Amino acid sequence: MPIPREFDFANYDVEVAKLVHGENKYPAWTIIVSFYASLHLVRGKLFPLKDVQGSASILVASFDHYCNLHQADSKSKHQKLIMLVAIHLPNISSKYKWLFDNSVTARYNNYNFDPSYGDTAYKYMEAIRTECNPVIGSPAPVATPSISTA
Amino acid sequence: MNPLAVQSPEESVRLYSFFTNWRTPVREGYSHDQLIDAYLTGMEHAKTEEKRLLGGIFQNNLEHAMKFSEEKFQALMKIFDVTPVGMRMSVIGISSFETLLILSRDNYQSSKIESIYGYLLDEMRKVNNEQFNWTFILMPSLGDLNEEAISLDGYSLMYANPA
Repeated sequence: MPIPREFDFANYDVEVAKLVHGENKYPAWTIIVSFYASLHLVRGKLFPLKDVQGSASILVASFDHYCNLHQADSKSKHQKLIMLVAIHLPNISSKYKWLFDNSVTARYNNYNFDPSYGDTAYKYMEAIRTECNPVIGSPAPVATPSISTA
Repeated sequence: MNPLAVQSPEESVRLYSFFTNWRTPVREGYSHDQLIDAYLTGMEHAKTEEKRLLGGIFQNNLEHAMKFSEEKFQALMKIFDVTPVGMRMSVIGISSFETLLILSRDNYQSSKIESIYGYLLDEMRKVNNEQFNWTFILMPSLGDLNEEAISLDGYSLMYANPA
């Protein structure tokens, strides 16, 4: 069974976001699902990523691989991704951060969002989806090393 | 019988007859015990020194994070004409801090919000380095805030805006 790609996860979350946002009765859940859809969208867009390790430039296949390479960095995985989005996808970095912030602080407002927050979350997720241009189910363009049999 | 409980030299010789051919060499300098004691004492001093150094680093970082957060608070007022209704800070580690900026409902829903995010993301990128990690979270105040949840998440420092 093929390993699901980030865009496959994203597609699943986008479908859920559509359903939850449809009636817009649960804006907090629209925010949270839109955030997770966006998380997979930006991961799919960012990786494989050229990264500098010491004096060498390497191609990092996935976000998890990136986090393994940057374990010494004290940032959380979410913060690492926010920073990568800010650097490589500045057009959507504010929208992504808005979604992250409202997801993690929903409890602080007792999940008391009015429907306009659900609308904004869904709109931001759609903008991120457009920017990331996901190709669902396609193989990730990771260069695999060739083995010489000569 | 526990050999460590031996009291008399005679008893010791009886129990440790294999040891009688050996002596601790008498020489100038330090005995093994003295060296071990010195090492352990040194370790304690090193630990104390390390704690002192780490305490100094933490204090510097904390002051830096506080000052930087205050500057961002003031910048939101000056650049965007937005006065946060609150600011908290969480100490995540010796060099890692997170500032929670709380805006009014109207300010958070205004057209300025994306620019505010853009500004703070730029500032975050500029200030972060291998020795110092600062992050922020922006949120709206949509009525009564759940102070218990905020405190439990580690936002123990609260900014008292002097203005």
